[in-house]
Amino acid sequence: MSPQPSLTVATLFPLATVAAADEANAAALARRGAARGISVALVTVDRPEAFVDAHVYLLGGTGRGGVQALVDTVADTDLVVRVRDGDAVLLAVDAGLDAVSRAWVDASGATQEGLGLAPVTVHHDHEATGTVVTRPDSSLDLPALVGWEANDLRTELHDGARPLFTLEAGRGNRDEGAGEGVLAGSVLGTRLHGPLLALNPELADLVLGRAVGRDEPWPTLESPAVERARRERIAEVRRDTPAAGWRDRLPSSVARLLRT
Amino acid sequence: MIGGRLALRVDPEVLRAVAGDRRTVVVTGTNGKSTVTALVAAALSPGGAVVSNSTGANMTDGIVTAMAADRESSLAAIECDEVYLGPVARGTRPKAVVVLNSSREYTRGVSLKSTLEHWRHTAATLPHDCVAIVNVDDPLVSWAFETAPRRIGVSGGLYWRDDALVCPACGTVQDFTDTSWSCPGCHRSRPEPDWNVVPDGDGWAVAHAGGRTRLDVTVPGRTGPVGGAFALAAADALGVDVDAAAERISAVADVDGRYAPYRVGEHQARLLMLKNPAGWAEAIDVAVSTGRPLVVALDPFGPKDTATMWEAPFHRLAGHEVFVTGGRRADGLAILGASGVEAREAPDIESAVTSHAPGEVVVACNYPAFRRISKQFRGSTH
Repeated sequence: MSPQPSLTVATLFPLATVAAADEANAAALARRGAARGISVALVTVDRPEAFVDAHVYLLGGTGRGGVQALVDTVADTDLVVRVRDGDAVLLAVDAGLDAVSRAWVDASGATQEGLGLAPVTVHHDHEATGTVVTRPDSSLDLPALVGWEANDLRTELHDGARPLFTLEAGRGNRDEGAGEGVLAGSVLGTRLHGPLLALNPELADLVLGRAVGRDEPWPTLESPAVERARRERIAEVRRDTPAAGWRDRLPSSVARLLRT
Repeated sequence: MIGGRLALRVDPEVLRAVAGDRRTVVVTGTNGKSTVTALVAAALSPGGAVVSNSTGANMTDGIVTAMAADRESSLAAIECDEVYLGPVARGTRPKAVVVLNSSREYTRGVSLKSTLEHWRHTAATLPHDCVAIVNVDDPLVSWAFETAPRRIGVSGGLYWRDDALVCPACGTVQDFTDTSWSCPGCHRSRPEPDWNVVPDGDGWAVAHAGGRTRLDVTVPGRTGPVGGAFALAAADALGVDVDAAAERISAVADVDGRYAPYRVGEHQARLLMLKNPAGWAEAIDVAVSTGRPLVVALDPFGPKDTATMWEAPFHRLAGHEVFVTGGRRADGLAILGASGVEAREAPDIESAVTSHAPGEVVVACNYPAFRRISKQFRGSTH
């Protein structure tokens, strides 16, 4: 019998940015890991000297105010090297994605240089807030996921990088293909808070699978309470925000009935 | 409203004009402001001749409105949003500022760091006859108010350590014990409190200057007497007799529908309203420390309505009897389930409460569930 795999998951500098509940992603990885027979050790890194060689790094938060501090602090660690060399997986959420981008926009609107781990440049856009629903993605073994976004940013991808998700509802990267976030090398970047991994255990599976170097899909593992919570939220979004132009696609006999 | 700086656009002169020369206590902190403001108002005056905004209109304009509506009272107890402390202190020139606690606010784009810096700057510019009454158990509050000209310490408890792990002064990881903290980097440590909540028979008392004052507060758990201790310290700072103040505090039955128990059949339901992990941590502590059964009531209010609950220490409720109800109960069941708590589902608040054995039940609500349920209970008990 092979020994039980073990992983270290490090949450990086959670106090540098405005809180958006992303820290619960660490506990979600530990729960899903335990259910998959992986023992997960959680570490919170509050200053550069406390940086550890982890298998998964979580960088989150929201707002533009703390991003420069995040960039400066992370620059004093081995994060970029470890992730670039494929020794660790990085989940970068919102302000965390700004920090590892090639260029981001600060609170004054000025463009600043990021750490360059994600092939992304960030631009100012209008504020958008709401629940986000993704489309299922069989290439990543993901069903429709749910999260929430609150930002005033457009996220532009480069070098042919693919978005992490394609959206059914929500603004995402604000590009033409309804993309959200970025998946490039060992970086999973997204604007979605949730806590994303807690509400979407299949995404936790994706992170865990990459961290342990697993190529084949995970066996089915149900989590009925979480799935119900997600199902109810998705149903709510579909009820509240019918796709644009849906009336035009109805057969005229049905459309007539609806108008009366 | 990035940075929450709109407060600074309100002219402190307006507030100064309506505040006049009355003696004001300002209460701020992340959690518990409304309750403690109500206790301070009771503590200060027997006749209720105290201006107060304890229903939560706690930004500068709400405070101006409350002050303008009552030009007679010579005393004021004012609840103040954390990021408005500067302009409110400049406008009201308070005799005391009560600072309860500090944890991250998830609902708007203000970082804890900028709030603490705002407090520290404000503390340094408080009038010299103003006493800062601070929670010494909270290292962040303690640091922010180091610069105050006069300072009194209350042992106010720390339910949420996660935001205070690193010393705000030097960045070193702090050492915590059950009752104290210290920083190995800059050697700051918990100042000795002047006011302490201590067990007193079947209830609580406040120990101060070698004496003891009994407090009978209806708020469940340690939260009630701790709020009372802050109120007594404020009354004392304004020269009010402490024993008389304690009697008036004990007579406060209700704050904005939050604490008076509602009768539901053979049950008494006590409502708590929670808005961040620190608040949920406190509610969990109330349920665990009193052993009372718990109802978690959650209603929808937007995409992130239950997001912060995922960080609260619900695992402490393992083995506890919990029912979940409300329009977002699926989230509650998922969160509790993930924490190893076997919660059960109830279709409505009455059945959630009466599914427990007769007696007191703690009902922990998010904001919309609190509004709905307190309105419903108020309607059915009168």
